[in-house]
Amino acid sequence: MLRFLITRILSAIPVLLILSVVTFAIIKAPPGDYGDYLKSQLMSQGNVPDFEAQQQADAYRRTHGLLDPLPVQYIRWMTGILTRFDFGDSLFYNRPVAEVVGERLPRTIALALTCHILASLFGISLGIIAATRQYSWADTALSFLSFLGTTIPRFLLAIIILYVLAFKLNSQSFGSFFSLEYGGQPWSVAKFLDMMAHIWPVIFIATFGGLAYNMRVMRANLLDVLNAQYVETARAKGLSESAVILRHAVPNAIHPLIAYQGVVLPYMVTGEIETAIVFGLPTVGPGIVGSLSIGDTWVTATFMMVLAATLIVGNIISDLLLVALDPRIRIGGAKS
Amino acid sequence: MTDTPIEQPASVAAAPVISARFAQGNEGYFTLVWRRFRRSVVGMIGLVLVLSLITISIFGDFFAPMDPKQSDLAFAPPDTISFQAPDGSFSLFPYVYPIIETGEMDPVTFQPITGPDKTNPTPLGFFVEGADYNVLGLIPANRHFFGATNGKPYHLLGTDKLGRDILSRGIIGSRISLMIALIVVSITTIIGTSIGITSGYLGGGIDTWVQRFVELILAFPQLPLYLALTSLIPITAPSSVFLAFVIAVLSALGWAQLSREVRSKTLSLARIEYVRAAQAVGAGDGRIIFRHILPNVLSHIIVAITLQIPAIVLIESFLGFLGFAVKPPLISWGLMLQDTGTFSVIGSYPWILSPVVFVLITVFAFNALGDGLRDAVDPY
Repeated sequence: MLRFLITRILSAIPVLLILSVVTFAIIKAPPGDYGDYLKSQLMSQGNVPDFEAQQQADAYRRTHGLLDPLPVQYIRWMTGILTRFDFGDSLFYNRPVAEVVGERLPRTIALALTCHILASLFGISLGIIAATRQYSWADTALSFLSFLGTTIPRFLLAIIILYVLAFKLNSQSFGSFFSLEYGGQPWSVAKFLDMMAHIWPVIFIATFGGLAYNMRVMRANLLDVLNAQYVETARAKGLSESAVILRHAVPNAIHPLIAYQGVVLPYMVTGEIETAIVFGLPTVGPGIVGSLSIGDTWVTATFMMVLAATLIVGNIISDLLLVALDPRIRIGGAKS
Repeated sequence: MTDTPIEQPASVAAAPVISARFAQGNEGYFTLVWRRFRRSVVGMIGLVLVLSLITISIFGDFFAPMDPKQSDLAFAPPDTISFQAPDGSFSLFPYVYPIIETGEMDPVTFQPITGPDKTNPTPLGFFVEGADYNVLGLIPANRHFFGATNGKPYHLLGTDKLGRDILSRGIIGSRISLMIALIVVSITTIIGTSIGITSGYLGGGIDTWVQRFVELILAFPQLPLYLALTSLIPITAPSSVFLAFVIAVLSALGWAQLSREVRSKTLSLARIEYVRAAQAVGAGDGRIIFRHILPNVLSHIIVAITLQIPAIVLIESFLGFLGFAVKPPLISWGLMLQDTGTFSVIGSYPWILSPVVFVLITVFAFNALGDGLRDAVDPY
């Protein structure tokens, strides 16, 4: 087990390294950098003449090392991360990148995890309901629901919900996590409710899609398992139907679903990113879009790396869970 | 049957049923698939929708009521169709009346009251003459499926910020949106299938390295990467280069998942008896791959294609929403959604959200088709 864990973590390192090189190259490839953004800001906001703005931008580039060759910039960034755990400085926020990312990433992970847990809980229970009542009206209705969930594009749903909220219901609770009056206040029930009022569309949209996927997989698995002979045996022993399903069938039907989490997790994170961009919630998604458009390289690159790392960690956790739940699976040690 | 002449009516009645179900000597794979597919209601709805979408986008100029580049009043609200003739009587052919100020004021708010201008009707009809176009780029024509008989502009879905008809743009825009999806999916299918089969069939060291590479691509957070890649395109690039770049970016990341699935199918197929038998009689690798493995993976690939098309349409429209769409004069749904990113605009002019409906219909149609196909492709 420990050996498996170590190999998985070690094999993740080259992936992250290559990822960082590719990300860095892609971010740096288009013409224009933060200096250009600065210059255009100076000229449009500060009424600075072209020549002076250019001078200031050049000075900025010099002091912030933007003129160095790309490999030098990359290696400087990497050594910073590896030796001091320093992800560089955000040009736009004038703060260490770690702070900017550290502020937004926990929110994204918390949101994605909430959606993930809700989607798993509801998806699995609805899948059980659908499978045990195959071809009944409940099954048909749930299949329709899962078809809708997998079909309706999340960002279009987000636009529509946003439109209804903003212009039909005159709600103002989006674009931030809290209303103004709760800024800097300690946690309280009222603050929590206020936060829920701001983030429910994101949770709803991301959960809906994941729920539909989980339900579909769970239904198909459980239907397979219910045909197995040991289920027949359990019924023949005279066990009650609920015991047969919950104690014998469901635990075996859940395994493929856990293996499937490696696919579901990126799906949930993408869903959170898409909806957060539409709703302007200050999480990772808008952070990437914003930093990308002004050339705030280190912020974008760090966000991408951290997201990839999150996905890899999620995959490792789902593999470990699978081993913990299913004693038949032995990873790492199996030599055929 | 031959020595006992048919006497009992029961066996006579049974005979045609049996012949209809079993007696047709050769039933191809596609006949079997079609028979199963026909039973799925959702799948059939999807098929009909997909076929009509493709027809509408191929003959887009004919179905679009207006010239998609013609500029009228900016942000004009959708016209309402009225089945009332100018004299107030019922008319089977609908009219559109321009909305004008009636000269009266609301007694409370003093807002000018607007109403239909009955003196200025625009009768609508089928197969009317309108803007010139070329059918399939060859035959000049000016008939439109539906439109104003007197050639006046009218906008069933309103106009965008430059005063262009949203309905016509949506219909013409389906071409680029569907074309991007079809090209991307063709490329990813070819790359994904060949890499998947090669990797799975050859196995060994090649397989290990190819799979590491696929894992690497799958480990990338897709959406941010699309954003980063599309921002690579120089703003000054001509629209054809831009289009090619979008297609290249979407293809570069799309093949990995398919190749994974194809590989795992190939792995299990390569150990199956008939493949071993073929190897034993000395069939070459090419023959085994094309005659024995490819046909068996094909069903999975077909489903993957139908499910990937809506995904690409969606990514294109999402990138458009974020501002990375194809460039004018090309029209795509993503480009049309570009303006919807601003709260104030969709608040004042909600009808510019209508491309959302086009995307929704497309996504629904292909997903429904894929759903039906998934159950039908394995008839044995």
